[in-house]
Amino acid sequence: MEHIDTPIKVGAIFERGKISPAWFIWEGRKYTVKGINYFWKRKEGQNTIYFFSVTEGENNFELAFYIPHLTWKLEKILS
Amino acid sequence: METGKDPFLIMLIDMNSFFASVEEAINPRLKSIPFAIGGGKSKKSVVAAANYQAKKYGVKNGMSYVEAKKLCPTLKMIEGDMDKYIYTSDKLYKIFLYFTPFVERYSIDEVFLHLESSVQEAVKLAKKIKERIKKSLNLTCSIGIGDNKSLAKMATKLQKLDGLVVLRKKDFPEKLKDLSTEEMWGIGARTAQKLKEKLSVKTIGQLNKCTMEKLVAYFGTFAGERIFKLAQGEESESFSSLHKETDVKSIGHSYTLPHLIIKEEIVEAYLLFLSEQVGRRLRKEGYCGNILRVALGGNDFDYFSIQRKTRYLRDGISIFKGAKRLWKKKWDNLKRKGGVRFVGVSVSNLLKGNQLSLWSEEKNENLQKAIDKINDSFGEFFIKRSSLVDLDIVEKIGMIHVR
Repeated sequence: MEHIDTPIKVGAIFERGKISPAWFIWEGRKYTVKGINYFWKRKEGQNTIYFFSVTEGENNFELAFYIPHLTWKLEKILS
Repeated sequence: METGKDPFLIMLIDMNSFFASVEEAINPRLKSIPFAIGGGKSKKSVVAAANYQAKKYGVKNGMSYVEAKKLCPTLKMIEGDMDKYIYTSDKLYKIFLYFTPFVERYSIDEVFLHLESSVQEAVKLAKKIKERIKKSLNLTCSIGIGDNKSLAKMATKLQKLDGLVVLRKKDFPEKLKDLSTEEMWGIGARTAQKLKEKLSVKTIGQLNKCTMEKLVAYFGTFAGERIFKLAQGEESESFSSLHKETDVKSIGHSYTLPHLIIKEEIVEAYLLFLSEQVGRRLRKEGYCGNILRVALGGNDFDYFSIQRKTRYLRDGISIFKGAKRLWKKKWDNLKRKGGVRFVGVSVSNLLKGNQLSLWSEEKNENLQKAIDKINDSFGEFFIKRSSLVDLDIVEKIGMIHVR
């Protein structure tokens, strides 16, 4: 497991109260999300952070969506 | 064949290697390697949960990292993240509430359901619950169904991985007769050892044949009678919590430690943390209370609960000071027997509002309000007492049981 903790650009689908990351760009490369392994959230005071474990086939990544800043981060590469 | 409605049945849902299974669902690659969840790779780190690959090597919960690594040199240690587990536990709780309002959350990964149904209906429901959990969280569980909590719990031991077992009183102890007494709910290693040494009782079948007089003579009235009841397949605990809106009677937090704690200052730090949690909830919900209760558990049946009337309390430090006085009375005894495994603090006899008696408390109340505001904005224990910073227990105590 590698801690990355860096802001990234994410394309996500917001549908019926659910958020599904579809792709993300990290270090100039676009990764297509093939599946969401797991989802959980954490409250930090008044802020909520949504976590997604996603797979792009070979690798698994942990993405985080920070509300209310509406920013995404690549938290970890899961190996 | 069993037909018709039973007066009631209890179902226990026990999540299989809960923390480890959540980590595997997050990172499916972990399924093929032995790993354990703990606080890190330091010598003091303890295994909080191990996956099935690690269990094959004999790695067990409560083992030190060093000990576990000796058994399984390829063991990977993963730092636990309570947010994930609590979130998942809450999701599971919602799933159970979909099926019945009679849910008792026994621990972060164990839940009892109280059912008014036939055995066939209960089995059907268990299958549905398993399917729902698998579909929404990709996790497995073992389900035990019995006439009471004790039988339901023991039923899960008969088929540990993804199991579904019904254990009726009429089948007890037959189905369990050859199992070690240690496998019985409520009987720990020390009691099992005593049973073996003093009474030559090794199995549940042998224990079932023991008279109450014999057990009372060796274990005292409380423990002896309790062991006797358990050995007869009778109820050990009542169903204590239903999901319904009621007036709050007490506010408490408790915590089961991963292993026996022998250091006084560590137990006190847990007491302080729990007291702060209780105080924060009292203030949040607008209560104060004047009955303070401390519960402590040690080895096996060594469980104490002491309470006393105090002035009205709602701040963590006053609760802690009172709790400290109470727990000291039992410390020597617990220490002699190996230490503390369970700590609980609660405040009852609640009143809405605040009952301040001293000016200094009013000053303290203003400070408390300011701290609460900061913690509301930036997260629980953003501001905390320095003794908690040093002991670094905040992360580990995430497993608190909220009543």
